[in-house]
Amino acid sequence: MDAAGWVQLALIIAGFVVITKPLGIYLVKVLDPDVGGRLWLERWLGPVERLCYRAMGVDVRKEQTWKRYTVSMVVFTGVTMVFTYVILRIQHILPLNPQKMGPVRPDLAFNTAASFSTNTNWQSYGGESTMSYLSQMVALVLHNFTSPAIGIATAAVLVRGIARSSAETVGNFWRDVIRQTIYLFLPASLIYAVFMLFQGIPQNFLPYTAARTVEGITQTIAQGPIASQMAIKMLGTNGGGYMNVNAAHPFENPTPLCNFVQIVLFIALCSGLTYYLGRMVKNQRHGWAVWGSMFGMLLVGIIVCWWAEAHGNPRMLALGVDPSFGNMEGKEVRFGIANSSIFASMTTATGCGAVNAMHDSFTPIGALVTLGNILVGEVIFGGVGSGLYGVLVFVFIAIFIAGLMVGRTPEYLGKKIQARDVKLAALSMLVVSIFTLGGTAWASIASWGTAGLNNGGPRGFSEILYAFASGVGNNGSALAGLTMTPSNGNIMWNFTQGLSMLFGRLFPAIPVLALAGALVKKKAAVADAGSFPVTGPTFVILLTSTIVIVGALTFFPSLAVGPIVEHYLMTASSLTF
Amino acid sequence: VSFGGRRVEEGQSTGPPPGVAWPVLREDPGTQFQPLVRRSATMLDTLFIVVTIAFFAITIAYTAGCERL
Repeated sequence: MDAAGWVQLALIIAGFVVITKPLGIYLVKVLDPDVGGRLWLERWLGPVERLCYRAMGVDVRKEQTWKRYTVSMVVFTGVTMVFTYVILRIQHILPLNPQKMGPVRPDLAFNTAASFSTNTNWQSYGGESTMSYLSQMVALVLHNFTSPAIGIATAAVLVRGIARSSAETVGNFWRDVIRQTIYLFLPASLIYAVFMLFQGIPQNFLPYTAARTVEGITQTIAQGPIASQMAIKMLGTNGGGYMNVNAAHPFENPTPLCNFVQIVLFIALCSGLTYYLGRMVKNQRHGWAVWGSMFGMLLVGIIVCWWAEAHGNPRMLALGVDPSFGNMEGKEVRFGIANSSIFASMTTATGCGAVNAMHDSFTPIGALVTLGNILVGEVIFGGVGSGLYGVLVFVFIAIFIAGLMVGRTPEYLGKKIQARDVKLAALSMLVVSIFTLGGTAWASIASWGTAGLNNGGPRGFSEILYAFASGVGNNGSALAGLTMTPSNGNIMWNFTQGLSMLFGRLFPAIPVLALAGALVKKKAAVADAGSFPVTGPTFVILLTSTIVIVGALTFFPSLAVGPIVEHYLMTASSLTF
Repeated sequence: VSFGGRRVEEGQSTGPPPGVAWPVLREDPGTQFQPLVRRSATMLDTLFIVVTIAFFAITIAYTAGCERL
């Protein structure tokens, strides 16, 4: 844990702290212009926005109830998922395929379509050896724009439910998605793509280059329209790489500056959304309190992961490996221990899922941090939008518990929390654990489940648990070492993982929308001395404790037979698997 | 030590020499279109489309369930 690493960590934290407020204010203008005021970009892009509405036949002046909003979201997700599936299956007869890629096999197309439409971006394939340029640019990038927009829209609905009083409607789905796309994601991605080009990332339609190396062998250099996809990959916490090795590849992450900017970008919107929350509910200190809870958990995770990786594997050290290197297995030499650990901790906490190191090579404690970040429900900043509504569900539970402790009706920002609200919040949390643990249990005892493992023993179990946690949590990173698309044609991994991503995205989101529908109808009371304060250290500690305790109670047994026992086997036994 | 077939002396970088691109793996047998899958492709396409439609139908029913909760 060297000084250079601490400086880099400090710079990354400073980077996303600085942009939290301006981004939050911008988000209010994009999502709720009636609150935040008109955007300066509307002067030029307003006609494009109105053209989109006319083309779709949508009257955006009419807001929707939570049910109509949900149906719009479900239908849009379903239709775009089928679109992606079809494109992947027929890519061999479509243009922009200079490498003559064949059709993506059905189970992989299903898995990929589910993965990208749910903002998971789990990849059971190597991008440069499977996808045509058209598939990358149309079938996959479509979701890189729309899936984060849907996540933010869902969070905005819940925030409106809290902020509005005695209302019926929660917003308009089509307006929320289109405004984000036009005023946020497209302009930001354009600027960032140009920066990526400047950093050396390719952007072309050329066939792959066959190069002769100094060793005298021929190697194929994959390329294509990469820079344009890197921006939205990070900004939208998508994480799906153009290349198989994702941000470890020099074409996806060529320089230290690029690595720094990518990390800041994939946490930027998640952080800015907490400011959006504070601005919308007219309690900025509450927004910062939620931010503080997330940041505390993030920082602890980063330091623990970095410490574990910097101290390395004692069995390797016993063989004479220089301890100053730490655990460099599976890490890029150009990034080193600190940047790999920070990236891994933040990509799992934020729901991004991009990787610049092989997570399967992390020490058990390092892997425990990445797994734990996902298992607490992707609420440590989380995915864009899904992180905010996920943590707000925990806020409801925390205030409900506090209300029980002091014997008062729980109240959140003037809204009474009633039995139905708590049921919906609990349902949103429970479905995550049901699908994560249920899927893990099934795959652990099924022959198709264990057939894809690269490791035995507790690490093998962790690979399965990680796969389902990442799928249900819509993270998309992998502990890796798990083959989901076996050459024998077995479809079970891709099929079950595809379903887990769909359930993990929509089944927690729908109770959140229902909760927003219930809250928006309630009349907000003026907070008095008896109201539970949702700012300050007491609230931050209560919220953090609720998240950690619920996560620990739900997943500790499975972690105990995975990374925890592996740590003790590594340090206090000679067993190998 | 030997790194990718190239002998590397102590203190020398193990990265690629200047001007040489990093190696890219092209072989990925897991994603090739295997004969077994090709034979059953039509059946699997039908299965996955039906499963997708069924999932979204269940989701609509789940929405109605949340309303009644």
